[in-house]
Amino acid sequence: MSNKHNPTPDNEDIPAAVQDAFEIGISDTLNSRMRDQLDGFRSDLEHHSYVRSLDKGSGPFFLLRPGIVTMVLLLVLAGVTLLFNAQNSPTWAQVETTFQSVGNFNATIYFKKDALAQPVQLELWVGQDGRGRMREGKNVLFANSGTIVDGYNIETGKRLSGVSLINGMGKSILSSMTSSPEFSLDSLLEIGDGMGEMVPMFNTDKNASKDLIVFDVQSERTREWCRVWVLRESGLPIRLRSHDPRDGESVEIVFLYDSVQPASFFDAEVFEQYMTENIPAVASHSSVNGLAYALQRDPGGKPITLWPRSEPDESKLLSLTAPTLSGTKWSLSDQRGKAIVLVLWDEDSSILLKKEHWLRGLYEDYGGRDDFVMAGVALGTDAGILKKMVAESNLAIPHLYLSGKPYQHSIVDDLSIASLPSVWMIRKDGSAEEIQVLRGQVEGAVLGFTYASATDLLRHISIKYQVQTVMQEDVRMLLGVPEEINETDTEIIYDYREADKSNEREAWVKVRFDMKGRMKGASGGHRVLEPALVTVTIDEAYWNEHIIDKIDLKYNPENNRDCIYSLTARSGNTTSYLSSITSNGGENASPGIPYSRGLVAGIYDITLMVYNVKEYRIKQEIVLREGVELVKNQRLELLIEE
Amino acid sequence: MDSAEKLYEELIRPIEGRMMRCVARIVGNQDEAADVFQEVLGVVWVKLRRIHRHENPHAYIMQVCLSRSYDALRRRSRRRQREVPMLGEVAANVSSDPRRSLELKENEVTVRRAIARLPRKQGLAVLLSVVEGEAYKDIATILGCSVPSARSHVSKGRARLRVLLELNDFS
Repeated sequence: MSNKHNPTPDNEDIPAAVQDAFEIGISDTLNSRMRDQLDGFRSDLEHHSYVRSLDKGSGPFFLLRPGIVTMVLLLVLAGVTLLFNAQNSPTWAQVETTFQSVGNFNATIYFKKDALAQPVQLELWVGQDGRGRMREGKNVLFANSGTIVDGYNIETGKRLSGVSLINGMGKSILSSMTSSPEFSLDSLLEIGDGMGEMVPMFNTDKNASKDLIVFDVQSERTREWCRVWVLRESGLPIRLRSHDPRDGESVEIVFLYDSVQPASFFDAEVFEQYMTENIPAVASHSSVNGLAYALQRDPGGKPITLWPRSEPDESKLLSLTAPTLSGTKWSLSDQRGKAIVLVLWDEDSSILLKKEHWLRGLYEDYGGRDDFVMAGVALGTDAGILKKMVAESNLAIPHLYLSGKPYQHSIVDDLSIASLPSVWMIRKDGSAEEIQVLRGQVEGAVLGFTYASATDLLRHISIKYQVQTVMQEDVRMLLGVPEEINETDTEIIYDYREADKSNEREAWVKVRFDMKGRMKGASGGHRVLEPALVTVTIDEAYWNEHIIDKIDLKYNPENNRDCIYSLTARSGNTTSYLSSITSNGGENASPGIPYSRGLVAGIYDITLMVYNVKEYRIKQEIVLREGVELVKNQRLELLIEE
Repeated sequence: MDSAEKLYEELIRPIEGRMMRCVARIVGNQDEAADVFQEVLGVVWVKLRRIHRHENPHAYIMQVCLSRSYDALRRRSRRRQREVPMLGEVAANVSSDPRRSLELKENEVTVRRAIARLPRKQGLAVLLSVVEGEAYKDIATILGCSVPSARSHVSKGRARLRVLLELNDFS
């Protein structure tokens, strides 16, 4: 070892020099003090919330003897020199303990990738026994004891196929906040790199408010910092911000401790069942987005969602009595046995009365029927305004008038109406349901499945299918008993058919269900009942020498690639498409192929149409054969040649 | 044995001597060492759940001891930059020979101040390697890094320490 007065040892000598410098034993006094501290620590351990939770197995920790808490917390703070600045404020250890002991909390989390990025919002609810729930975009996630147990997309109503789809930070926060019966602020501090291991320090500079105190923690590894705002009196954290000065990336968490949510709120199975049951009701009113808060309880007793709705008491509809707006005598109960469309509306429903063409069309098409009636129920405080709206609507239907504030009227509650206007359909048997603004639904259910309504019905079923699970019973309710039911090993097929008045065509709808009776899909259309078959073949030489010459040069495939040539059969104003001779762009014309089609018997002109697919217009029509007679159930072979 | 006793026997008892020695040796001043030790116990109290679930709880606790002690060393180094070293701070280091005592004291103060000026990880690594005599594997565990990184921290720390001691300039 070299000179101790001026220790400049070789590199190899450094350990010895350092060892010499730290060659310090523990004095008896220090040893005694440290032993006392260890003893105190050991005896206090039994009162530690974590130890108590170990004793209990699981469950929240609430009860600590105040004296012991005070003693322990004072010990914790003995080495924290800034304690004196805190004065009567809670220490970080107290904040942690207080946060650990709350029964539940919810937090709104805003995450920004950088200073200019749009924030991503997450909503977190954490309950007792390690249960948690989070909304992240359109996903609602459920966690239990640190594991994401399930997730649902509220827009599709379907279970998420994998947790990998979920935002990493949201998943991480939900997992960490439910991993223990006690809540840990450390877990949230871990948002910042390396900050979970640090103890936040009381920040005197930010001690501006009487009600708030501020703790700061600085990452050891990066420039990130985190600040926690705490209520001075209760010691509860109310806001946490993590910030990275390098790019402005930040996480902002706002805490609330306002209500204990019921166990069902955290139960994924209950949520799934609720969602399945309520999506139809929700979708028929407004957006399904409200399902994000499904089963949530507001501490002030205010409704968080409009669901679950009470079952509407439809019997109240036919027994509804009120004067009419015009003063004439008209009673709803007198309309029993008819199909009734009833429009409940208020002062904000002018669009429905004036511009909803489906409503007007329904009135014009079916208003003259003896078994069908349309009526309105006007709700409002000012009859004058309502009368003026009726006059402007030009919809000559009777309107009952219910005086008073619209949403405070008993009929709105009885029918469980979420928003006005609300259109109801009362069937001939007296049963009623609220309907969407789809004409097909009225036509199908009130007037029955008809040749004319097949397309609308199919569209209606398809729309309904997109937002909810449609069962066999739903389809039967809408379309009635099918003409035929076919069952295979994997599916059940309902076959609906309806002939038109002339009995030449029929509308058809096929609805497919899985073996549990859930709709898988539907298809439909119209077909000729007893077709006259025709097969048309154009001789290639004739095509090249005569037909091509007749086509305007403008529409020649070489000059206009937007036109296609189609073979059609025309009878009066009806044109039946047989086939396309060319593909899009006029290329690959194939005239030599025979084209077949079943048509309604009659006299037809066989024509070649030049059709612009971009303008949706017929540009030229060349008659190939005139007055071709097609006979029911017979086939005609037609060769277009010289 | 209840959970508290079991937890203490499991987490603290096997390393309580090491904890005390680590804090006492690095901090030096006995009053300050007692405060730092209490601070360490406070951190262990607050982080108890995390420590218990940690894959290597003893390394975690030793890391807290080392980290807090080193922080105290650095704080004191900054605080005393313009102060004259006090004699008799560490009772156990007092020699019967006054001149020898003075030499030891000056040496101790110089080395401590040099170590306090090292980058944090290097300072911790040197203390673990030289003062605590830990193997690279254990240093890596305590510092939460890989063994090659631990080796690098120790090596760089020693090299830098040598330069600082040669310069003997801590102004």
